[in-house]
Order: sequence, then C-alpha cells, then structure tokens
Amino acid sequence: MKLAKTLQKKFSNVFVAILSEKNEYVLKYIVIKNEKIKESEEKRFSMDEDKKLSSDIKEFLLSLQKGYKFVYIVVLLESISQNCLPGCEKEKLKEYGVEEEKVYTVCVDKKWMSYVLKSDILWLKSIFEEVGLDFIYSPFLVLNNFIRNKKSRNKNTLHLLYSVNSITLMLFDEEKLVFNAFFKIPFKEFDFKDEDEEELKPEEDTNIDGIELDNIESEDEEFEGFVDITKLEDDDDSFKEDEEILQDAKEQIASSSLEDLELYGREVIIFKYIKSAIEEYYKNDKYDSEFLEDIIFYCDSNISNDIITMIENDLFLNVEIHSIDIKEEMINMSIKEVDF
Amino acid sequence: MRYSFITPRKKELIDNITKMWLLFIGFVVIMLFAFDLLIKLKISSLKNQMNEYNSKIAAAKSETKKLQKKILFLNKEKAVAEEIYASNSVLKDSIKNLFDLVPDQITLQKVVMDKNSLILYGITPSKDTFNFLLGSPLKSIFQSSNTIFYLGKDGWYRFVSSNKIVGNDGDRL
Repeated sequence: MKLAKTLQKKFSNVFVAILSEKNEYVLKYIVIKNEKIKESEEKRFSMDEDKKLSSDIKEFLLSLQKGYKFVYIVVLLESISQNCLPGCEKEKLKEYGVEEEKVYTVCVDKKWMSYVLKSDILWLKSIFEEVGLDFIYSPFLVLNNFIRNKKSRNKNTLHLLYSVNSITLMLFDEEKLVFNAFFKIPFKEFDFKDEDEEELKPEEDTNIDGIELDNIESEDEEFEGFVDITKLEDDDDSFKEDEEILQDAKEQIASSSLEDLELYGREVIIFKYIKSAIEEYYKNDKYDSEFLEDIIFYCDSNISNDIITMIENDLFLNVEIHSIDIKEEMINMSIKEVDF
Repeated sequence: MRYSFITPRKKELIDNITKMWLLFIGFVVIMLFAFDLLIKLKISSLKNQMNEYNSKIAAAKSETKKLQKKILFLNKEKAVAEEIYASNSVLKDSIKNLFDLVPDQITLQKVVMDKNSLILYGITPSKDTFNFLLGSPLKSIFQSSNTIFYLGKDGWYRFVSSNKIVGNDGDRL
C-alpha cells in the first residue's frame, strides 16, 4: 500500500471540491504532483432546474478524469437530515432515536459523531452518478476543522460557518460537543408570500426533518434538544416574531431593487435562524447552557454589516469574522483522507 | 483520518484492458524465456553428448590404430606361419623323399639336415652299392657331394656323405 501511495504521489493528483451556491455549482480544483501544487483554478457552472449536473460541468469533470488518473471529487453535503451526537458509540444513535441502519456516520476525535440519512447520500450519489464521487463532507466537520485551527473552544463562544447556501452552528466545551445546528438558506424565490406558505405546509415539515419525525417526537423527548427547522417552526412565538420581522423588512425594502431585496431577505432569514438556534440553546433544559458572549463567523462568502449589527444589538454578542474558503478546506480534508 | 461519509472510488493507474494486455505480454515473455531455457538446456545436453561422442571417436580411433598395428603384426605372423608351414611341408616331403631314396641295402645311422646341407651317416655293404643306389641321385640333387668310406670290422663300409647346395637354389634341400 505504501508503495502504491508513493507511486501515486509521482503522478498528478487532482482534487475537485464542489460547492453549490444558489443556482450554481462552484468548483475549485488543484493539481498536486510530487507534493507541489501545479495548478489551481475555480470555475462556475450553472445548475439545472432539478439540481442535476449540467452538461458543462459533467463534460468538465469527465474530461478531467480522462486527463488524469487520480481525480478525487469532493462535495459538501448540505442536507438538513444531518446532525451530530456527542459520543461515537453506535448505541448512542438508538438513544437519540436514530435508526442505525438508515444513516451513515463519521466519528470525530472519538468525541462526537456526525450522521446523515443514507437516502440523502444516495440522492447525492445519483446526481454525480455519471462523473463519480469520492468524498462527501458534512459542514459540521468542515467547521470543526476551522475551530480546531482557532482553538477557541469554550462554552461562551458560538461558531458559525457561513456559506451561500447554508449556515452551520457549533458550540464546544473543550473537546465536548455541546450544541449544533444546521440550516439551509432558501434562495430560490424571494417572494415572501410563497416562502411563508411553503414553510407552513405540514408535509414540508416531515421533509425538512428527514429522520422520521413522528418517532422522534413521540418516543424521544431528548431529541428535541437538537435544533432543526421543524422545531423552530413549531415554536409559534418566535416564528410569529420572525414573520413580523419579515413583514417589516418587506415593507422597508419595497422600493429597493430586486437584488437588494433578495440580499436583505437572506439576511433576515439568517438572523432568524441564528436567533432561534440561540433561543433553543437557552430554553432547552437539555443543554447546561451558559451565557454566550462571542460568536465567530467563518465566512465563505461576503456577509453584510447589517446582519452583524443585528446580532450585536439584538443578541448582545461580540462578533468576530474570519473569511475562509470552504472548498479549500474540503480539498485539504480530502488530501488528508487520501493520506498524502 | 476519516472525514467523509463515503469511501472514495478505487483509483487505478492502469485500466483493466491494459492490465490484461500486460498480463498477456508478461505471460508470453515468461513462455519465451521458458522456451529459451529449454533450448539452452537441450543445447548443453547435446554438447555434452557431442563431447562424449568425440571422446568415444578418439578412443575408437586409437583403438583402430592399435588394431591396425595388430593386423599388420598378425599378417606378418601369418606370413611367417605360412612360410613355416610351407617349409615344414617341404621338409616333410624332402625327408620322405630322402627316406624313399635310401635303398634297403643301406642303413642310415644318423642324418644331419641343414638349410643348405645334408650329412648322412650309415652302413653300406659296398662302395658301389652306395655310389649306384644313393650317390648318383644325391649328386643330381646337390651341387657338391662328397662321400668318405671306411671299412668296418664286419667287412661293411661305414660312410659319411656330406652334400651341399650352393648358389641361387640354396634354400632347397
């Protein structure tokens, strides 16, 4: 095996990280030969209606794999069925009402694990069926890597990974995972009416929750501790508040251009998500919650000052912003995993 | 370190068809080498055999030489034997002839036969009996023939007749 790895290093190895941003796939690839980066490039490809890969990106990925023998395709999993659990034992899954045979898990540092529905992985694989797929990373793990780099793992600091399509929240007490949440940011339509209506549909709830909502709610009260969108929406008070905020926002920006409107809408939604997650953390007895003092943003794309101001004023948190590159981290992770 | 929910696809430097080709070529090369080895072994065994045969040839040659020498020797021996046999038969004939020649009246006491000479000792009743009956045929056979007589007490003559062949016809008695 060692010989094969050494031999592989002598050839060009290509790592391609793919991240979806709104209705585009953003692709970053690097070519490594003899442990040196020979080439690095970023490309954008438009996404089909049904999120399938467009012929452009397929062609590009296939031609890349024709040109190079070792091509690793890495994708970030932005599926709301994913979650984390403290501890790595399989029994923990049962404890939290998750059916072991229905999920894939990844253990991190033997302290906590991330899991996701198999069906979501299969769906992602089906999208990449023609071009192949090598690694699927959870944003929790990506965020964990960034936190590891910063070494600020105390109970008063909330960490947030911000990408165009999603936000991921994690709170650690040293190595112990205290709290986590993941939200997908809707972008398709910023006709707020439609958005609201959609969110209120009952069947959407089950979709969002993913992991057999009925079971979890009826059998395992503890599971409520984990934040997902359904719970937030169930929380009527906060939801109404959010609605009011949205309503206000709509009125405020009625005269703005569509793009501004979209941006502002996004920010409001992001703020809503963060706020509801923090509320969940404070309110739920499951978390031995302490007062949060700081929030660190790891931003893959630009975040406007408005949201920072909102957080500082409404949530009384000190905001720290690090601009990071998720795709690069994904590539780094895959390089480590290939064991180069 | 594992981060991913899935394991990566197997990456292979050589695709299956190339692998098959390489396997096939490798097989052929091995076969060729094996065949080469076989031929080399055969050659060396043939060489050994050839050396063996060569040494056998050399041995056979020396044997032939020996045998030829032997043949030569035997031929000579044969010739000698034949000669002896011929001379013996001649001698036998000569002796037979000699004894046929001797008449009843004359008694031979001693005969000395040499290659070129014949000496006879005996008793004769008279000189004339000898001269007529034995002297004349001896004279016709031998070139020189001398007979000495001396009288015995009984009135008979003892004689010594020495006969010699001289010249070309020397080896005939």
